[in-house]
Amino acid sequence: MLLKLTVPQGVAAPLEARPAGAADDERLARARGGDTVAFADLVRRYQAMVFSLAWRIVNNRALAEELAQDVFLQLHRNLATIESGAHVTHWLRRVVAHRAIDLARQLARRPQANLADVPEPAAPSVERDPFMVRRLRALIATLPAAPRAVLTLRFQEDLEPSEIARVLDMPLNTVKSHLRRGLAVLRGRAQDLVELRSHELRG
Amino acid sequence: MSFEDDERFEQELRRAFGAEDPGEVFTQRVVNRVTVDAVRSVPPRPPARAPWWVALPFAASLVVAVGGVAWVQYARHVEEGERARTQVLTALRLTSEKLNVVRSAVIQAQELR
Repeated sequence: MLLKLTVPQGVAAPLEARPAGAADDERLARARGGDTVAFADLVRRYQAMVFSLAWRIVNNRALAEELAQDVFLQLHRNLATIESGAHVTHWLRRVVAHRAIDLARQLARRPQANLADVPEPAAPSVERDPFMVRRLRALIATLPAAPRAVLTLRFQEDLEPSEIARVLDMPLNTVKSHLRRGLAVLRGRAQDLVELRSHELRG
Repeated sequence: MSFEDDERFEQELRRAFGAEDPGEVFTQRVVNRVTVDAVRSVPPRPPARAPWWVALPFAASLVVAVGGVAWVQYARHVEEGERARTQVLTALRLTSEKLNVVRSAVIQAQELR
């Protein structure tokens, strides 16, 4: 059910009715003043981004959720240093990406490999998974942490390579290299899966 | 489906990388952790300072105690002094009596010659 809110004159419009930047700035100011409700609103605003970044990089949903909670706790402790809503976005991306990469490397059972050394993914499972999205996610999970983080920031957050370099404290050329090689590996293996599936469907 | 087309492949990648919201349960867990963290980080309050006059009875007791000890010591000193004076006077009296006895003996001895 939709509620039509009538805002009397002299009263500020609901935060959701204002431009996103202004609403974030106001949430931030109230949260900085100790307003728990405002901080909860901030969390809701950014939790999809933070959790998904963590999940794509760490490859473990439970650990990613815990990491995402830690990041928001760290945000709360550092609210005094956050200057604006835009700063919140940059700060969160930066902290979650760095912490997720560190955690992913700790979890890796073998040392970080070059993309060319990453083994081929397993053959498609018998249950005939119809969604290529799930297949692509499985392929993405086979990449090393750093290229996986670069691709996540590119295709989840739509960041340009220069912005990715700033978030990850990575040279721009390294970012571009990870993007180029990561896409090539993913495309090649995704195409192999598509052809394999086509053979399966044909009988 | 073919992924030879870059644009199509990148569209599929964007779908694969789509952000997923962890839900309101996640939000509440964060808020709970933040609340606990905020309580833990509050420094203990220093003890409230009492008004200045609250210390007066204690100060007075202290003065009385110190003064009382000093008075007792003084009284003992005076008593000891009196005792010593008495002893000296007694010694002088005894000495004087003995001297009188000796004087009497000497006078008698002189009268007998």
